[in-house]
Amino acid sequence: MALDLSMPVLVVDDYKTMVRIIRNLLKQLGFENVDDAADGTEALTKMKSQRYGLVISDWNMEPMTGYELLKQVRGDDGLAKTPFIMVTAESKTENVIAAKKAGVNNYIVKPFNAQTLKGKIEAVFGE
Amino acid sequence: MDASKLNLDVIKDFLRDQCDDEVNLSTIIRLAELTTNSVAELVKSHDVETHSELLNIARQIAETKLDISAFRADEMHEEHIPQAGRELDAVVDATEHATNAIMEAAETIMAADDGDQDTYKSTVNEQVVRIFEACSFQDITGQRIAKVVATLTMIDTRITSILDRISAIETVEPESAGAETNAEDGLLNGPALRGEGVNQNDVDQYFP
Repeated sequence: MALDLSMPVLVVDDYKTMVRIIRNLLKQLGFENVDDAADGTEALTKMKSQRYGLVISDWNMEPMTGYELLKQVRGDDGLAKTPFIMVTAESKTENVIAAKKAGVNNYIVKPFNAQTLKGKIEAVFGE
Repeated sequence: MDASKLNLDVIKDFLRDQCDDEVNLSTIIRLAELTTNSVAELVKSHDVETHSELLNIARQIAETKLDISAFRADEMHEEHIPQAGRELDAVVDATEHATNAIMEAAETIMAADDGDQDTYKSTVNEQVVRIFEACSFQDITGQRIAKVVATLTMIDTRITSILDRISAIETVEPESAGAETNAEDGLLNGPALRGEGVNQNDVDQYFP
């Protein structure tokens, strides 16, 4: 799976500021096509109408959390292979294990920096 | 026991047991409960209406005891309130850290030599990224403040329940009774405090 900077990336977070920050960091990393959603429900709707090359999602959102979104994505044959990175302040071991079991490709603990985001995206795409 | 006489033995025994302990609200309520029950036995043989009223008072005292136990004051004092204080301290630290990071980035840009355009552009880009990173404090502090608000709401709910019971205006069930639990609730804790939770290096062990 190669890293294509022109692929559509979906950022899912209920904090508009965080969406803006991740959007800007992705732009700095060279990603041109970035979309966003405010929670898991909106993200799932968008994912069913457009194919995304990468999902970067927060965990703690309502009504659908990022964890629930991950499970729904992995349970949907059409979406199951979408690379999924969790970016969250939930930093307990059980969270990481639960996300890993649910099929997350990588996990970033907030607060994070641009280098960490870049490194995890590259790791997911085997760069 | 002779129902026509006030039964003081049980009250005397209770007071004897309590004599070395600190008198607290639970002790007073227990004493009121024992006294009410004892008087109720005495009155039963003389006045049915008063006896019924005393039983009603005894029932309300018992219900207030349940509310006070549901309030879990020790848990509040030893866990929730100190935790809320630590969350607010962490908010202060995070905002201070973010402010310093943004100021340093701005100062670095102001001090940069614009003689070499390539170097200057690279410096500005690098510092702009630092500013984006620093702005993430808003998300973290928002979550911490939400946890403090949740603690205040819980205290408010429990106190309101006790006050409602005491004033007999209406009956409010303790917050925990019948509350639906979500299988994911144990995983939703918000940001960890410094020294708690795992850091990025720990997380990376799971994604070799």
